[in-house]
Amino acid sequence: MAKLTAFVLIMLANMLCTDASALIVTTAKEKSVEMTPQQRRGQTIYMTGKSPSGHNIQARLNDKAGSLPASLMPCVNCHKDDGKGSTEGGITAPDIRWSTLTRPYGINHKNGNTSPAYDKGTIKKAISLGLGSGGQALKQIMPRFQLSHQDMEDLIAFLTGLGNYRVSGLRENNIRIGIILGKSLAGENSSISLSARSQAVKKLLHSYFHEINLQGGIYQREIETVFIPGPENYSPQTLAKFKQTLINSQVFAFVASALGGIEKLVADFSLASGIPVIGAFSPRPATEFPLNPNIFYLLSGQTRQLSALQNFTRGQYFNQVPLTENIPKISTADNEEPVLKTVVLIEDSPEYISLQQQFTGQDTHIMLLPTNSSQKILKHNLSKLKQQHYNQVYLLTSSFNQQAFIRQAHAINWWPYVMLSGSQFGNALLSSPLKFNEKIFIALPNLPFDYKKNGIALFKQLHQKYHLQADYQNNQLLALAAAILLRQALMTTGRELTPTKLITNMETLYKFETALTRPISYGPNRRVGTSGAYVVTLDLVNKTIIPVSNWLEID
Amino acid sequence: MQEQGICKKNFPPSIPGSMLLVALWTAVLLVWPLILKANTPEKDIKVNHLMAPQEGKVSKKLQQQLDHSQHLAQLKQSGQEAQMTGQPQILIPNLTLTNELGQEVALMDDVIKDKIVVINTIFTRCTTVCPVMGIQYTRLQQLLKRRFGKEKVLEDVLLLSVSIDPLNDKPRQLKAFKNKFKGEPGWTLLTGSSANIEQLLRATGLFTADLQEHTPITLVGRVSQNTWTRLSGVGSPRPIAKLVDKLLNSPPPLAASHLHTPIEITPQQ
Repeated sequence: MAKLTAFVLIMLANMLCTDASALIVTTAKEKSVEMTPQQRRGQTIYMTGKSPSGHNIQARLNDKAGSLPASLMPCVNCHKDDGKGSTEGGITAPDIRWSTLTRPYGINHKNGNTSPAYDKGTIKKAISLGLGSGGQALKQIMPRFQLSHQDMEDLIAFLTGLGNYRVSGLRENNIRIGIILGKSLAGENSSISLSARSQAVKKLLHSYFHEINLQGGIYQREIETVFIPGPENYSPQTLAKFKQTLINSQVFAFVASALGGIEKLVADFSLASGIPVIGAFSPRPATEFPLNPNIFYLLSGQTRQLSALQNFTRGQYFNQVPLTENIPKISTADNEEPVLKTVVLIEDSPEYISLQQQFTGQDTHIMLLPTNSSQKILKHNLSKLKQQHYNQVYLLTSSFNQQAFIRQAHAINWWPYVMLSGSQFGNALLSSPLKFNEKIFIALPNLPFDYKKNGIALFKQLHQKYHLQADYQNNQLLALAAAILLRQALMTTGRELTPTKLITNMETLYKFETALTRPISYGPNRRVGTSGAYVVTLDLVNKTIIPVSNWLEID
Repeated sequence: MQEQGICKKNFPPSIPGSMLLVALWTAVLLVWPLILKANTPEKDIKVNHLMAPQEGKVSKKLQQQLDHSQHLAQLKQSGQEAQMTGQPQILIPNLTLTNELGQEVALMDDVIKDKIVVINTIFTRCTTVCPVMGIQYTRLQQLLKRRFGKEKVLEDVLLLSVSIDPLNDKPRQLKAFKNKFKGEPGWTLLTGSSANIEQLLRATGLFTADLQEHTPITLVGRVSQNTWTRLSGVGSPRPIAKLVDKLLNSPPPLAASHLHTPIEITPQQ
């Protein structure tokens, strides 16, 4: 144990050292500058139309109607993240880089008019009153923003540097890539320690990027990795501290990050900073529209896995399998087909309750389970379900409740089909009673037969060379797939890197072979790399899984 | 036409040269639209020439149309409106499209029927003008609701947003777009096959080949009344509300007239 702690400390020390040195490096040759904390707050306002201080920011279009939340029309929408502006619909949003706004000879407009150069005072009027530096009204489409005094100061501070900032995490000869590791464990002496799984992933990614650097890096830039342990818990203080760590990390992009439980925080951070997250993992990828354009998930999450299970159920499988004791004995003349009677058990916690909508509009019985119900109540509930001849159960609960369910059902001699999404699957289920043999169905977004020869070869090579850990292979392989994805995106983007270019290039990936997952595709409206799942059943005799479906693609 | 012929024949030969020139010029001016008519197929003129925009500075193309319709107005004043008219005619085909709820709909039969229709074009990834167009629509909904009452608006007015990026805009995205601006019933968003969308956009004169060239225009009219107006899609919703008011209070439309084109169009004078 002591040995392990020492090892962790050394790893941590390493990490901290690289952090410190990286912050100092800004050579005189580089014109670009780092953002101050105030400018970073201003950036958040520019990018999201929301104030980091929580103050309300309103926008008014040039008519007499009321104001709207500025988040509907943040500056970045038209002026873009580099401030150079854009043209759309015959309307050109002007270049608002500070150097352009403050040219000594002023601004030449398209119509031949000129107006004086802007200064901090006139730019405030432009933002709040819609007046140009010459006192002329700006275009109707430019919203008039109402900000608190502090927010205005922050925004101005950001604008005065716009066009001159260094791209976060990018230097002449290195790229900083961040990796958010899974939930950290509260260790002794309240020092943060990683779970064995995170440790394994960390070592693997470190070795992969090291290998890339040995081969000359990416366009002569070395990859520098910054490992960020996830928050210990989700208390507001811990989360605030974690967010500060993200801000301080100053990376170009995140890769292979475990976002489970912190999806919202990372999404907000990524939107405010413009930093992309490539190959993210989460049981609940945030893919509802409007999309967060910066986060690319590798695999489908719970909802898509459940859809796959539902598709699978509608298929032929349950008609072909002898359904002996599972079938309620309804022998009416017009009902000779074997019938599945389905019940959905959902744990009454915010994590699972939202999955309920997956089953709305269907003729399915939904039942809520308390998070920690007593055995007695559970038994009572299950007996009732048994009496009503339910023979298929969607079990949307934590791993703990899954096992409790299996135990109780077995105790009352009820062995329905159990449907689970892979994100909730714990190995403990493999030791379920044999009566459940080939009756537990799980949707998995990835299976061993997705691993291609060259992917496995790379993995083995890394393992031999860097003496990586043997356990958590699946996690390691997926992390490697995410890293390969990032490498591809960086390679296709070229040396002139910006986050926007990287995101645009990610969107064009179509059926990209990581050799460790199914082919990965993204698009303008697609942020899940492989959207679908396989269905497998548990072979409890041999303690293994048996695939029972082809790949089920879910839109 | 007869008149002109007579006019030419009866020229007294004693008239001085300068006067003759003036007369000739007048004659040319009068005959000009007829020449135009002879050269251009009538149908094209009718479909392509839309009425001038009522408000806002829009594109160059529109400005040209504006110039052209002023030119047409001048022709009218010289007593030559005949069948040649600036009245735009839009024939909306009864295409199969998909709405934001994912339902397949027949455009004329299920969606427009014979409502007063407000049409704009959007795509959900667009960050500059489309949000503003979305805001214009929600404001318009509030305005109309206040002025005519919810039921009346739902019954007679339809707000339509057509996606010009149908490959990427699936019903889900359209729904999210509507929700973002808190759109209410009475605002339908449409996507569909590229071919159908293009056909609709061409018919309404809202077609653009390039997404970035997408012009923020709001088209207001009613098929049976055959009056169409193009307005700025990023301006205040008030002019649109005024137009809707005007259309609501005009004589009742001919039933199902979208099936056959009205031939008689009353002159403005």
